[in-house]
Amino acid sequence: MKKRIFGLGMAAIMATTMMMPVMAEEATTEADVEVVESWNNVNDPDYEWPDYSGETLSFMWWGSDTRHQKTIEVIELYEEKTGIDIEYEYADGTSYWTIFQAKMAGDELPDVFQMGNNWATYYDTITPLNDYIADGTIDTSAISDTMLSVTMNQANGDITGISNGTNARCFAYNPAIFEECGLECPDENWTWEEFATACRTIYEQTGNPAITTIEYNSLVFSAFTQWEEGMNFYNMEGTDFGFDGNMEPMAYLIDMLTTLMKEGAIGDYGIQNEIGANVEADWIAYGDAAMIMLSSNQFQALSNAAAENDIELELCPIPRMYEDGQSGMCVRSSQQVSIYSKSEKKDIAANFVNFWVNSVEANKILNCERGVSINSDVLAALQEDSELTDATTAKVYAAIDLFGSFEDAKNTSPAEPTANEEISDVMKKTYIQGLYEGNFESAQEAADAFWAEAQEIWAKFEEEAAE
Amino acid sequence: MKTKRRIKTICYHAFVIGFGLLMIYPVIWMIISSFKMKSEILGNDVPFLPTKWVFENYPNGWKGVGEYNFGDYFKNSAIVSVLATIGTVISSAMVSYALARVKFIGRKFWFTCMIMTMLLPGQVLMIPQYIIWNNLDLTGTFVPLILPKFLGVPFFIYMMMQFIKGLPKELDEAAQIDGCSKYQIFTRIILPLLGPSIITTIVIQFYWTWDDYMGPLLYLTKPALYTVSYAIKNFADVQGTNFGPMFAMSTLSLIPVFTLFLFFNRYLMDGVTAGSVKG
Amino acid sequence: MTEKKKMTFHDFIHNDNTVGYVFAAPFIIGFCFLTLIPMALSLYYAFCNYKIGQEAKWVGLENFINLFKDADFGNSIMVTVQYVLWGVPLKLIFALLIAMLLTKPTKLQGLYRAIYYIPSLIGGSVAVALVWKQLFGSRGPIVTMIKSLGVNGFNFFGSKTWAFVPLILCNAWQFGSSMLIFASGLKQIPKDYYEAAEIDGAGAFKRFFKITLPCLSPIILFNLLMQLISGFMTFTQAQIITQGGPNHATEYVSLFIFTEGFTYGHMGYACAASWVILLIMATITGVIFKTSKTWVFYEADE
Repeated sequence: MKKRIFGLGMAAIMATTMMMPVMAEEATTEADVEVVESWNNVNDPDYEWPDYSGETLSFMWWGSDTRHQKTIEVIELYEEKTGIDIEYEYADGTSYWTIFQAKMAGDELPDVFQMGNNWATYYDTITPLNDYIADGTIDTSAISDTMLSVTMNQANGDITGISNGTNARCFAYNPAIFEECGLECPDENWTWEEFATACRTIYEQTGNPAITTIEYNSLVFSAFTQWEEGMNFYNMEGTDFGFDGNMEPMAYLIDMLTTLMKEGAIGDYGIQNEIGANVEADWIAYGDAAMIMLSSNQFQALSNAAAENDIELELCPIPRMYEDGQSGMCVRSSQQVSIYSKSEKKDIAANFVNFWVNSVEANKILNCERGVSINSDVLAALQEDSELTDATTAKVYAAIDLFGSFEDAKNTSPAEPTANEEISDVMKKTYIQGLYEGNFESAQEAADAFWAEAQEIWAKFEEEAAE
Repeated sequence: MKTKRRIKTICYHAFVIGFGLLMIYPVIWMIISSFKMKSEILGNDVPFLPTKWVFENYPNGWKGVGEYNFGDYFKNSAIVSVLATIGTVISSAMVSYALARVKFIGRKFWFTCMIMTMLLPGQVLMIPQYIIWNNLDLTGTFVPLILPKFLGVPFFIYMMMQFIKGLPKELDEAAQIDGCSKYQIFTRIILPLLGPSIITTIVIQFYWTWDDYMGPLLYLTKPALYTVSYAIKNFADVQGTNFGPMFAMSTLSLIPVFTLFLFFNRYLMDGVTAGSVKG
Repeated sequence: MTEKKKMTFHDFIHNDNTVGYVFAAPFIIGFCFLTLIPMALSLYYAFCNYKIGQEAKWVGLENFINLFKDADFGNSIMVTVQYVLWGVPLKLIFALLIAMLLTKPTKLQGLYRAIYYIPSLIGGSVAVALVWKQLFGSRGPIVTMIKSLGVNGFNFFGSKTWAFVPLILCNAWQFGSSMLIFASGLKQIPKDYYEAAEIDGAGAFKRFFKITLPCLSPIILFNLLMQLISGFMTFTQAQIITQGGPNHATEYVSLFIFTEGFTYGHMGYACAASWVILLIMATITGVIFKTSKTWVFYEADE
């Protein structure tokens, strides 16, 4: 599938270059930096900005205060270049989906909107970008195939949007605490056993739980990948589960975590619920916990909070099941920009998306706040600039680089099928905590009960989709 | 006797003040936090007072996002809240009079309808209501937040009904004998006597509208229209929250509602307004 | 009708029916245009397989049958009932006591009332959630106190049994609106009732039970009903403080409905749940109205 798109893209580029002999001279075949090889490169000093005076385009996103500020600056930059008027609105990450669904019900979604990995749930609202990529309206010459495919529907090859950047679920740790406790810092190959030992040692020596934020679901998903090569919780296409009903990985993981929690070596549910989704409130930022599980693009906010207490943090992957085994790490799109399927201005929208992902000038403002840019030119330009790439940001770049280099990172399923939201909630709310509270005799029993319910939920969604 | 009374008074004040301080502890916490840096707001064992007073939270918060600052947001909130409150008072007083005092066909039916509207969880009405406003092309304006308030708010209709029912019927009858029509009874007898509940409505509804988040989220589709409550919510996100500025603006946001309360509360105190109702 | 004496315009305009509909017009218009259609739609969706943005498919009673089989829904009703049974009386008693305490005529009355009203002004803000989490958190003053009593490993937000306590306290703490309504009710009680009672030598308790409570009964009924309804619909506090957790312990019905309808995309199912709630609420309201005839005292009884 990937090949087909790439092929189409090349053909289109060739077709357009033939139509535009002036450009053709500059355009050479290989995708080397510095060389203009496509007709729509916004970074070309001679780029001819389209004139959209009198036109309007609408755009909507979610995020933090900082993100709103940066995004608006980029919008103003585009308005200045093209004369367009962009109507925008924004919300926080939770409320966003309420507005989104209201607008979806009213057929009034903005032309361009931010979309998450849950795009399968909102598939009808999305325009596949394949044609725009093929004809070069959205220039992907500086985006590798792998990066382009992070937002691709693996089942049919539709590109559902362009990634705003990649991130990975991983761990951050405080090296000072590890050293104090006489422990080796986590390396890229550390295992769950090492994790458990570290937790116990840190708890014994500091009296504090070693970690207070754990995203169980992601860990369970990873555990399936780590268990056996070729296994995933959901398959790559997101069309089914990716394992045969063997619940050992989940049982192993929740058994270990529950035991640690009962010992006090990791934060109990009370502590975890107090912190909620607020990384800056995590104990690690105050030197009270040694580790945290997070998304790599939350690392900046966390590091800033920790820096106020003179704490420096590092990133590391999720522990492995076996040494030198599968990492279970997945570098995926943190979120993407998509074009509304009912938009009447898809061409303008595509031009904006092109600017959004490719413009170095724009991305210097955005500075990978949404995730590590998938455009290699942009990323190189940002990394060159030491003002934009401070030590913290450099750590994120390095970590994403490392995780992406893991052999199995490509085989880890990024899929979030429609049923995922409900299955995840059930996993988190009922079975993992249920074991802790004694609703189940053993971890295996809890995992098996979860499997039965997950299948039921899956069947319910299948049925709904079939209707 | 006199000393006993004095002791009693002192005890009264001590209790009211002491308990009151306990009650407003979270508010004080918020105000003090608006002068702190992030690490002193969130951590374990943080000091009650900031070690370093951060006054920049106020200008930093005030400047808002993009071209709009909190001046704009306060203006928007004021427009919506004032108009919505006026609408609520007028419409709810009218409707409550009809339902409590006028015997018309279908009164029980409409009363039941009114109670029913309060019993359905709002979450499922949200989208259909949005579609109606969308079809009227009124999303992106203040109208969906204000107009419904001119069409009666069940909570206040019912509240005023209870107050009207507490008024002696002889008043109406006497007025009727004096030649007042039902319309005049409303304007001359009921409305003036509804004073306390109208004040209550003003204070509560103004604050509810001021604080409303869902309405602005759905209907105010551009930053030029955002209200204070919506703008404050936008400080908070899992990607990072600007706590200091958020609390600074939350503190400022308290001032209008609090002032309004102080102003109107005088009319709810004994001995300030003239004469109570005689039975 | 036609045989009747010809009605003059004056008669028509002063007819009780006309007056009634003129005054009730705002509500009737609003109800028909803004509420009726959404209500009808939600009732229709309750019998459909419906996801926002897609066609609704009629499935008959399936949603309702599934609801009765859904342990999470049963659980959400149980925890909501628990919340209401504790929270509503607590808040009302609190509101009434403070309202009465603050009717004592002193120069500071305005200030006092303002102090007690402030908590209600910060509503469902993030600040409240944070303070509450700090106060009841595992290192907060309350848990520390409990620990000093020798109870180990106790916390509110991780415990299925205790997580609702901070929530009902938070709810009771914001009693300002109820207090205000009680205060204006108290103000409406004719002073001469008390004067007469005092002359008769009635003590404070007797005055409270013989005058204050009966005269205030319409307002008590109102506050009780409204608090019951809002207690049943409680959403914000649970959403910002506990997110329905731990282990569904604070997943109140409105949170359940929101999650099903918006997060999981089962709007039809959420509508069905809403109508079940409406039926339950209507029954409770009906019962309260029926019994209210025996304990609510109206000046203008018909």
